[in-house]
Amino acid sequence: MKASLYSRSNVRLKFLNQESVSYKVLRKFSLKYNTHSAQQDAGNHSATYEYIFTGVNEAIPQSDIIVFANDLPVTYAKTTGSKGNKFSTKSAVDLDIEVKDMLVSLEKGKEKITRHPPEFPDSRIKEIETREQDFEIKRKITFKNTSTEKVESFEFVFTETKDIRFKSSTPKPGEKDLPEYKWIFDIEPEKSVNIEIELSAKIIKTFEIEKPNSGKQEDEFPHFQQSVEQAYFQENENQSMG
Amino acid sequence: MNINPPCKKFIIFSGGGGVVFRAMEIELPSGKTILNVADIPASFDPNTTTVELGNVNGDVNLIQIDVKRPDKRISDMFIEREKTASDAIIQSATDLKSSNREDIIEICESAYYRRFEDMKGGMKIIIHAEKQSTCTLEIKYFIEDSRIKWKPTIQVEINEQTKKADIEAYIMVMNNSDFNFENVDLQFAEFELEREIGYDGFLTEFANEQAMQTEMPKAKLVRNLRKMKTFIK
Repeated sequence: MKASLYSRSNVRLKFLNQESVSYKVLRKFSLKYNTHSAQQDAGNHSATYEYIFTGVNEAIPQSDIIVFANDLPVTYAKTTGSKGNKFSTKSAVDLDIEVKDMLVSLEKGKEKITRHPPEFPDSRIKEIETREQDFEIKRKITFKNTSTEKVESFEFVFTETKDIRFKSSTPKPGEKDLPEYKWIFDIEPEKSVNIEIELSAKIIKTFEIEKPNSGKQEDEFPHFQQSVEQAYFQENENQSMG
Repeated sequence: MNINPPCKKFIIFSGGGGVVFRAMEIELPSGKTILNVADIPASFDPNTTTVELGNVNGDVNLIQIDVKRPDKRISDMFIEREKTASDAIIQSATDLKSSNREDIIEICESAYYRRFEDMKGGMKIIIHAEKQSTCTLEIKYFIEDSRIKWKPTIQVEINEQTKKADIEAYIMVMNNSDFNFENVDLQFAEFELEREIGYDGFLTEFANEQAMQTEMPKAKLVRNLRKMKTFIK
């Protein structure tokens, strides 16, 4: 586009003006648990939303976006740019949807204890003790629409992890693309939708049993150390929460 | 011969700087001609400068291109003096309502914000023609000046009933250099960058490179580009 760019001045140029572009608002909540978060009484989560525009004629760069409705700004967002003829805003917290995630029941199976010598000879460690326990967990997730407008096509996505497996749910998921289970539903204004999910978990803990000549009684002071695998999940607990 | 080919096209990069295309018709006498190109900014990158001769009428050869950037350390000392002078002009000015007021402010502003990138570089093009000829001289160079950049803004008006939106998208182009680009075809490129450029711009190490005298200055802008994401014409 032809323009004059003078010293120490700014120029504002219009590069796109397009009417009647199709859009939708994708409201979504994604959830996954680790062995710790699946057992918590309640979880704090937030739903998100993003605008998706399709059929745009020009390439859109990474940009700020101001969304207006009835001449008033309703959202200030960012986009990472268009892909093909489509671009979307970055996900933002949806203040119209309250998400409550509560523990309904937790059944612990019998703990299975096994001991075996360490993989490599160790002057301090006598044995490795492994404790395995199965859990049956039932949780209820409630989505409340606090706005006065109907929320259409809300997406709830549950993702299985290595430790937390999906067993069943009420209602059943509309789509299943392992490890993801998806429910899509509308929420009437000031109403709620509940989804109960049943999960299974296998929790494995390992302990190092020290030799008696280390000066400690093995049963009195077991040197507790989680396996590398377990520590990984502990460390990433907050990040992996949906 | 002094020439000042007008800027025809300027592709500005979102992270700062860009690539300038200048062109003009020239008449060459028989023999060797030295063309001194005016208005080359010190921020131009000699490593990536190209000169092409188009529409050549006769046997014309490009012999060499001499490129030069001013010494940054010495230029910076001059710039500091000019800033001090600018401060002194404002502090000692008594008649702040005279007709020259706007001009004085403009001069002081220019002096106050001047940087090495606003100095003039040098480009000499040496051409040999067998006989009197004409040709089109096309010069292309990158400008390593992060004070020339652009940023888009998009405004969307949504209609919640029809689920349709009207989109208006603008680009704000910033030129905080001392150079003008008049009636130019402006284009805009967005790149993924190796690193974001700080307030000091691309040429923070340039004075040290020059002072060593044994170091060939590196192209800063081009080396920082990873992948083009968007191009707007």
